[in-house]
Amino acid sequence: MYVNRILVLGIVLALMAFPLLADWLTSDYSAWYRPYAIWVLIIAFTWWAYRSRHPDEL
Amino acid sequence: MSFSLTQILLAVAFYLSGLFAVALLADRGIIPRRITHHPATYVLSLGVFAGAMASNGVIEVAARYGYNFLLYYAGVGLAFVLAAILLIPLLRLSRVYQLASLADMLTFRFRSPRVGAAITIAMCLAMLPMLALQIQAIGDSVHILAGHNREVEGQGFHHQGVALLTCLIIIIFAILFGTRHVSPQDRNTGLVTAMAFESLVKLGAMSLLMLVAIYQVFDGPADIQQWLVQYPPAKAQMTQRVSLDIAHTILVVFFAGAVCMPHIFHMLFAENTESEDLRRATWGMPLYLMLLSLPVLPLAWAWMRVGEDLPMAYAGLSMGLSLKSTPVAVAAFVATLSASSATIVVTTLALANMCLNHLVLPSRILNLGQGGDIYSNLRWLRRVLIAVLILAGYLFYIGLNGRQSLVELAFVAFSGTLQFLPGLVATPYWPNANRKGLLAGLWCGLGFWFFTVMLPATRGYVPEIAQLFDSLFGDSNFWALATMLALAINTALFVGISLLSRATEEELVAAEICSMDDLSRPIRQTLPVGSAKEFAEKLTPALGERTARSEIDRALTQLQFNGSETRPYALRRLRRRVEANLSGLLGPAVAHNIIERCIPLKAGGTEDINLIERSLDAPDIKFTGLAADLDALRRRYRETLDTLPVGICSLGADGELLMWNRSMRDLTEVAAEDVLGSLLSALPEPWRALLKNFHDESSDIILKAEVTTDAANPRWASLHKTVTADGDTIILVEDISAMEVMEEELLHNERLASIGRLAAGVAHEIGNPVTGIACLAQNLAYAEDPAEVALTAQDILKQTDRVTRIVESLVNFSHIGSSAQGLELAPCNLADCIDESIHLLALDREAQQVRFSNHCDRELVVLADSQRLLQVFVNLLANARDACDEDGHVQIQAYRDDARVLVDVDDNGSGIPAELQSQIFEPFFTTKDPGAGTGLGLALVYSIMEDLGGSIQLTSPLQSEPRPGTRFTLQLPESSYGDAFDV
Repeated sequence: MYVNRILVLGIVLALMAFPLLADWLTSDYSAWYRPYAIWVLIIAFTWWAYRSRHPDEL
Repeated sequence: MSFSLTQILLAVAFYLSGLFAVALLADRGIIPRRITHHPATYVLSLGVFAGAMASNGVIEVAARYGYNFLLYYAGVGLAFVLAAILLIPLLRLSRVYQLASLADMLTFRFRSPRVGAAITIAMCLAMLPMLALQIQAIGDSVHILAGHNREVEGQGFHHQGVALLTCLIIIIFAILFGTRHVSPQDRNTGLVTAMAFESLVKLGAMSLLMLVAIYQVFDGPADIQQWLVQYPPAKAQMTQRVSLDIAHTILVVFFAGAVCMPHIFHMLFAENTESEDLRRATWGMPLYLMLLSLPVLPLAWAWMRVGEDLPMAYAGLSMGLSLKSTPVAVAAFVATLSASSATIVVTTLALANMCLNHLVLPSRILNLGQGGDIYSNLRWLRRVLIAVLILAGYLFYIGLNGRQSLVELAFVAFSGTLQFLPGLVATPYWPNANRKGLLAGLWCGLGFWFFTVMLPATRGYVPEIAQLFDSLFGDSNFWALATMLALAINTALFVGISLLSRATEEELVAAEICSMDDLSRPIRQTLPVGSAKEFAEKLTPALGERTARSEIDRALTQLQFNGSETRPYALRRLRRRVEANLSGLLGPAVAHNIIERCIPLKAGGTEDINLIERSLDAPDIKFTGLAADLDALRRRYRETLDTLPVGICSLGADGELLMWNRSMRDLTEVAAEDVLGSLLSALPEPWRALLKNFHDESSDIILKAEVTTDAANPRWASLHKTVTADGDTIILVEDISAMEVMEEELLHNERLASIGRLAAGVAHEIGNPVTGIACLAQNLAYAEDPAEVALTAQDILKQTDRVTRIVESLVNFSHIGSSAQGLELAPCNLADCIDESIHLLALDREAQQVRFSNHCDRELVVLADSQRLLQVFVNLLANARDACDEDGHVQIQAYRDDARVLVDVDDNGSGIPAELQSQIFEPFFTTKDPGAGTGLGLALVYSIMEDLGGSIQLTSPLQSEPRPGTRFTLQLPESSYGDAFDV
């Protein structure tokens, strides 16, 4: 089975960092852009992780 | 500011007509294909997931719990970010096996119609709150826009009537677009484009509301910033923390929803077959959700600031009414309408397909074999089911009587669909899972969810068990606890029962097909049909003649096969393709049942090595560690077999060609890809007859077979075969053409050497008549009497005849090779031939002189080539002579046996030891002293006898020592001169 290892590593890191992230997000209630900054990073990471290697590799 | 009900309903109809127009234009190709098939269109169509929960419910969550509303988007986004783990494997299965719904997939995996029925019933139950949520959102919005305050009036007849009218309009739209295609697996371009358009409308409306909230309710971002600092409830809202277990529960629930919910499953898999599109959706969908979530906090803050007496979920409408702005109110209504209507349409469409495939068709309400237009019947059934499902959602909504908020209903529905997650995860990852475990876990988990989550939430009471949980776990959120407990019960039973019970054979096969962990090992089973034509005949009783033919033609076109296909490999692929296509049409349970009934596979079979190798060689397979080493080893052995200078072909028990290496290709000039998977009958001559006969006969060896395809380049091959434990036959084919040519040259040299040895005798034999002729010629010079001249001339002629005969014998012996080419079979007098051989041998003065006795009947005639028969006897008699001492006696006798003539050549020589007798006919084998023999004589005899259609056998010893002797028995077909002789 081939699973994107970087993705799995990312999940583990995200789970480990979840409490810290939650603290950071709510520490300054007026900094509403923080969750979106993380979100943009996740989107960029996902784009990078899934960039196509084969035309159709299913 | 208020609108009349007619105005609002007209607006609903107008909006849905707009969607209708978009779908129609897309279906007819007026909207360019580059737009309708653009990945962005597919990604936007997935926005159907964001129903009324995204347009309304989530604002309530944001207003109450601040940033925690993002958990909804995070759960859904996670499903796409982790697409490689679940979505991509599921898309692979869905695409290959035409599985359009969760019920299709689990039925295919667990090979049970009961699984499909159970999933369908459970899914309908779990989705009722979801449908009610959408209807409630629209109904409430219409009600508010019409100037009624929901909080004050509650649910009245007017309110329900509005919702019913909206439902009826949606039913028409859903029927118009959802059932245009017969198979749910066919891409419905109109629906996809309309849903993408709807997502854009939703996003546009929400963005507009955000701008209004920021710049009209507040005075820009700076004002919001200041308001947040100054307004304590906002501060409390933004710093609100939910416990980790609740956060995790929400994440898991929405993650499961993004995979299991029927509408998202339908758009993800049934309306899409391109992995590249899904790949783009992995970041595109989170991006869309992020854009959709941006207005949520400003809207929640605007609701807090405006303080309108409306539920939080309707913050947009509240803002519009407060600002007395018709465009704002309309934008809020359009956001709700677009989100809800899309979810209702696609959800009911997906549920209708599930009900049709897993409840209606297996119950045999529709007689498929009766003929008629199956496609039309299916379409009508689907339309009725869509209407029934939307009305069921409406009735559920009526039953709720306005007791629940949109968020509560969403949580109930999502926690229900969570119960399907264990089965779905097991599909690609756990081959040991079985249907008993799945059904037990599903029913118990769903039962627990029904009594602890669904009933209390919809009937508006707190279950007694909640108090028990509170006392056990403290003041926790009962919904989260009950949801996770239901999932735990489900998973524990699923795993436990699967481990304790045995899966059926069918389940194991399906598990291997679905498995991502293990390489699938497909079985190569034999079909009871021999051609594509027979497929249609076999399927006719189940589908009707017209549908059967149409389905076979469709599958043949997809596979790019022609109608005269007979290759077993191709027919197996055709069977799979037909089942997959029928699965898209009728569901996997009914499709499997029809195929198994009409075209059952014969029992047994071996692993399909070709298919296994093909999947191993696929470019996306990347092995690591031990698997990579084993794969490298496999490739090496495969390469070794392929490059062996000996042709190797392997045949299944049914005669299907499984292996054809490069040497076979070079020998036969037939490429592997042209014959693999075919029967031997697909091969060109002479290989077809040669391999077929060799495969059928009991002999394991053919020493020499001519395989000439080009007369200018004669070729020979030797064949060996072995049968494996699986019943496969492996045939080795060796090109012996070069050896044959060399052997022929050597045999020719051997004949020349024999002639050389005979030369002295020949000279002596010819010398005598020549001397006689010389004397007679001298006498002739003095002869005067004509009678004397005539007598002398006659004597001279006799002597020249003798010389001619000697020369002819020599020429006969040396002239022809051993090749069967130029063989001239004709009646031969056996005794004369043997006499001539003896005569020739007598010419060799240097050889041992023994006594030859020809006891053959002078009347015996055999069918042979006289020159080759002469070679046979010369060699046999010479060998017999060489084996004898000075008292040697070689006797030849012949006798009839049926239509054959047996000739015994006996000697009283030294005999041949038993251990050497098996080698005596092999080329270059000799027991004579070095230089005395080439070892080709008896090989030549064997070869000639085969060419003549006869045989030779060896018997030794014939008698006791000291002269045990040897007997060679020749068997030849008898003949006669017939009329030709008489003439």
